[in-house]
Amino acid sequence: MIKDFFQYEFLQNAFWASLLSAIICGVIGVIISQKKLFMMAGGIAHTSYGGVGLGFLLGIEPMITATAFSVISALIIGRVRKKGGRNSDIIIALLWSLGMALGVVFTSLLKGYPPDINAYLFGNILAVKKSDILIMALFCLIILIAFFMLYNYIISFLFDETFALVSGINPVFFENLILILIALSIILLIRVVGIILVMALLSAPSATASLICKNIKGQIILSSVFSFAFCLIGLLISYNFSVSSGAVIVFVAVISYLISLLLNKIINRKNR
Amino acid sequence: MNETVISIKNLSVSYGKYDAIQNISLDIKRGEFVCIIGANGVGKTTLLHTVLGFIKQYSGEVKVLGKNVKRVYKHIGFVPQTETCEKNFPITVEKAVLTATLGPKIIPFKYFSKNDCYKASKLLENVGLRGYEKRAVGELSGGEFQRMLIARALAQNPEILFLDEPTANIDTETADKIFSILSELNKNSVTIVLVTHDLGLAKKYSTKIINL
Ligand SMILES: Nc1ncnc2c1ncn2[C@@H]1O[C@H](COP(=O)(O)OP(=O)(O)OP(=O)(O)O)[C@@H](O)[C@H]1O
Ligand SMILES: [Mg+2]
Repeated sequence: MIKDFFQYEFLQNAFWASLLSAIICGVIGVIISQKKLFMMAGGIAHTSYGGVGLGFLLGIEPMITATAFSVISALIIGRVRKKGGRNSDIIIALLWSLGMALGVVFTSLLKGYPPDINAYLFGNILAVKKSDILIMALFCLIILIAFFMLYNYIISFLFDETFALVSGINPVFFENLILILIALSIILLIRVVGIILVMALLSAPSATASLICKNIKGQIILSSVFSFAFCLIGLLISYNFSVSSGAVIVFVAVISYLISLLLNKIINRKNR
Repeated sequence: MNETVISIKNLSVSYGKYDAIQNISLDIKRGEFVCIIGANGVGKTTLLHTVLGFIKQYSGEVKVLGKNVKRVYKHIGFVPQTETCEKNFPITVEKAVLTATLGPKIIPFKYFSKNDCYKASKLLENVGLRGYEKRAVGELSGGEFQRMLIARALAQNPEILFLDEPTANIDTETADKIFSILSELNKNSVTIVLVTHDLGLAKKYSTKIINL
């Protein structure tokens, strides 16, 4: 495996993709699990499938159109969540299906040989190209710079939106910023785990981290480490046994979360 | 000493068809300690939120320090009802207090200095939370959390401090302590506007009671 790693570029690409994904799962995953934005993130991810389809149809790089779809849906969902508490779930569910439906329609309009849709739906870490790595690195950089540049403001906003307003922080700006960061991270993760499986990687590592660590920096670091481990294990298994990498990564992530939940229960009981 | 800091004229607020506040007028002067009391649902929180600019649709006139409240946020402190916070958010007490010193200007890569942390410790000590700096906010009891919110509001260095039921869920002794802290602040010329259901404490400490 080690020898293969230096020999094959696709393994090196897979490694870098794992690393970039892990960093983002650390930062954005913690926000999503602390604010319980799982439904929203799922909605954004699935809506982006419409963008993937449109990209194929128009002959543009699908990741670009997918980015447009996910950012726009993130902003819509954010607006709806703010306005109507009860309606927001409905809107998310509808966007979720609508995005998928658009993707199906667009790809079925395609003439000729069908593109590899599965790679977008379920991810394929072994098929990540150099150009994908470049896009991922760019997104990762944007997310990290924005996050650390405004770290304390974002934390303040996440902790107490109402108070942030009184302390003079513009809540609309931060709300939209966070939504856009979530949308970009989902796009970044699509090549690795795919649209359908992305939620596991955005929730399991950060949820596991939150069981262990009670401060946010620690949670970000731990959750990155976990994600990296999950991706590498997934990579290893899928390379050696040629199973879908996205699916293996999700299996590993979910099982690890369940085990840590169990351990956490046992330790808590002992302490009592 | 008689400057009017909050002036409300003919204020009415409604949620859809339902009128929560009808035609209220009142003035609050600098240096007062005002307690707003009244039964559940008479519109105390609504009044506070309108004055703070959270509710945008109302009729009548509301001025804080002679201006639209948005322009004087840096002179205002606010202690919300605990429900608005993410109670289990993974930050330390110290950090939660210091969030009040951010804004309105956004400074890129703004991190807190030793000096900031020292100030936070002082404020925490004032509300009886000495040594709590590094604890996670999620570990605090209801009353401790409430006191942390007061320390956070004080970190804003306010001229006017608004509090929405700061002693709900708090034992009588601690509630009294919180009121006496506020009274102390009030003597140092901070105007206080506080919503409460505790008539006893309101009578003991406030300079004016408004019964909605
Ligand atoms: N978002 C809302 N939509 C519709 N009606 C509302 C809303 N918020 C409050 N109300 C109504 O407005 C009235 C005033 O509410 P408000 O929260 O100001 O009362 P309050 O005096 O603070 O009561 P409490 O002592 O229970 O805190 C209530 O009858 C309430 O039902
Ligand atoms: Mg109220």
